[in-house]
Amino acid sequence: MSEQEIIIYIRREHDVNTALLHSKKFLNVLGCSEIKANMIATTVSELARNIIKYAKFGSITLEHKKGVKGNYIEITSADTGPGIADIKKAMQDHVSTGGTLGLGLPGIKRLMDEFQIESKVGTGTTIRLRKWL
Amino acid sequence: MSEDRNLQYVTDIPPIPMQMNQGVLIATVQVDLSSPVMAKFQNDLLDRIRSSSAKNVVMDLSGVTIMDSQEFHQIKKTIAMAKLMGAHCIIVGLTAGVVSSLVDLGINFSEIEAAANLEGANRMFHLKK
Repeated sequence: MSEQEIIIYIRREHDVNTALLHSKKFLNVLGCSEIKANMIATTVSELARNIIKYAKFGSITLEHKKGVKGNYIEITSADTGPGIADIKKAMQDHVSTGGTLGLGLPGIKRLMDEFQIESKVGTGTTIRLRKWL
Repeated sequence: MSEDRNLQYVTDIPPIPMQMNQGVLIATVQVDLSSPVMAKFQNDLLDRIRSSSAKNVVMDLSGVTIMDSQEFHQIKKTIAMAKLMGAHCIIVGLTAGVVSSLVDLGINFSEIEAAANLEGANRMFHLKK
């Protein structure tokens, strides 16, 4: 595993913590600003929880990449879970009396600079996000 | 083998320190609130509210570095439960990093009361009287 990429496998509750620890360390080494690091780590946490809640098993990858516009972090959440039947609906903010936010995808999208999702019912879901540094 | 690892993890949950200070119960959170830690915290806080009959509670979250929507939802639940036990909870110490992420996540803050620090919280408690 190079310094420019980390992969964390998510299977149980404890792995959310592991994902956060590794992500924070990874971002710290890269010299990422505190607020951006927090936004990225929070996104990782949300993604990890979704994997546990819906897919039961998946992975989260963080990569440090150099692009034309500058450096960025790419986060990829991949699982072989049930998939999302109605992506459009999932991308709308949920405001229930219980205060829960469903998949929290609109929130994650706001935290990041670029957002891409692919999901197929019965196959799984892959979400790619980018945050410019 | 992995069961042992999980068991050990459960018994190693650090308790969140709380103490009464001039009639205010102050809970000082210095770790990220993962589910087991949060569950224990909820339990301990409500037990302490009942045993001390505390009416004013300060949740000092200045030691929390990352909080996602689920964790914050649990905080809201804890505050609601404390309210049912007659205790008024005020959050203090949220960092800029945590706040900016929570705002982007679209959390509903309307039921939350927050102050910058302990003095601010005490002022709010006095105003309520």
